[in-house]
Amino acid sequence: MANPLEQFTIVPIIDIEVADIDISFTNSSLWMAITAAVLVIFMVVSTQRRALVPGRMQASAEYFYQIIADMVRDNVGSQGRPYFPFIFSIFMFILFGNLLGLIPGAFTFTSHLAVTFAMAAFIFVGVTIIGLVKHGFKFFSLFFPHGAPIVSAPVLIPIEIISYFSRPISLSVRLFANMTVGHVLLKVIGGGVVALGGFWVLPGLVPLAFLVAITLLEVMIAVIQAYVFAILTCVYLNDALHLH
Amino acid sequence: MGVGIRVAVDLVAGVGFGGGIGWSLDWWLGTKPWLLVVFLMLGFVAGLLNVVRTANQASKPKTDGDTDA
Repeated sequence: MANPLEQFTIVPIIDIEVADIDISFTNSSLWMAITAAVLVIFMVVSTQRRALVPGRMQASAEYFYQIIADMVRDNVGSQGRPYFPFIFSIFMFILFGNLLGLIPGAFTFTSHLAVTFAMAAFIFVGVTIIGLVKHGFKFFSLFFPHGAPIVSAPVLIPIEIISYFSRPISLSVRLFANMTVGHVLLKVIGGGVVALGGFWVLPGLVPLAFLVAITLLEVMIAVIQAYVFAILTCVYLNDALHLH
Repeated sequence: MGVGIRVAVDLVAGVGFGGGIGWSLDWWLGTKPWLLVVFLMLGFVAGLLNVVRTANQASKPKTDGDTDA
């Protein structure tokens, strides 16, 4: 039976090496490029005819826009508007990456911790810089809860700092773990269908039914995880802009 | 399932990061194993704090309009 972890192998397509650092164009890079291309084509085509009564394409693009616009307004407020394009881009990139990764034979780049952690670390550093620029030294009041007795500072400050620094870890591990687990599950149950005799024999039908259900579940998880990633970016941005 | 994984990851990230700091400081300052113990506990508390914040944020009622204070 096929190894369920084989689908996560990174295969270099074009070998590139600059100063002893391997920066080969891999299947992961290829699917990131495909995702970006599909995304750009989708957005360009859907905003081509700006009709007052939107067609199907335009309506779907407007729907995505509405979701993220509401999310930014609810979680960050009007000060978050300059960051809308960034949050929209990251949401669409992860969403399309997750969904395209569900196509059989495709590579899911969000199932690699290196990719998700790079995105989470970028957000973490960016949000911290935004907070520092906006508030200067006052930004560090984020690490001490408002109104707590000053005696508790030696305990509370390390806890708050650890809590703050664990954010990029939980942000990236959440997306990576969900995608990896989902794809392993699909592969294992898919292997079960073959082992029990394929589609047209009775025992094989049972895991096949599961497979159909879990594929639908995976589509849902792909959307939810993109949403969660975007909403947590908003929450972190809100903390940096408003210092609770 | 979504909220479950979210909470679990929040908790583990706190403990993991605390443990990582403690282990590195021990290795650097040669105080094995005391800082690891201290930072694991702090990390656990930080993880719980993350979980509480996630839970609060998940159950917070949606506010309409602009709540920019």
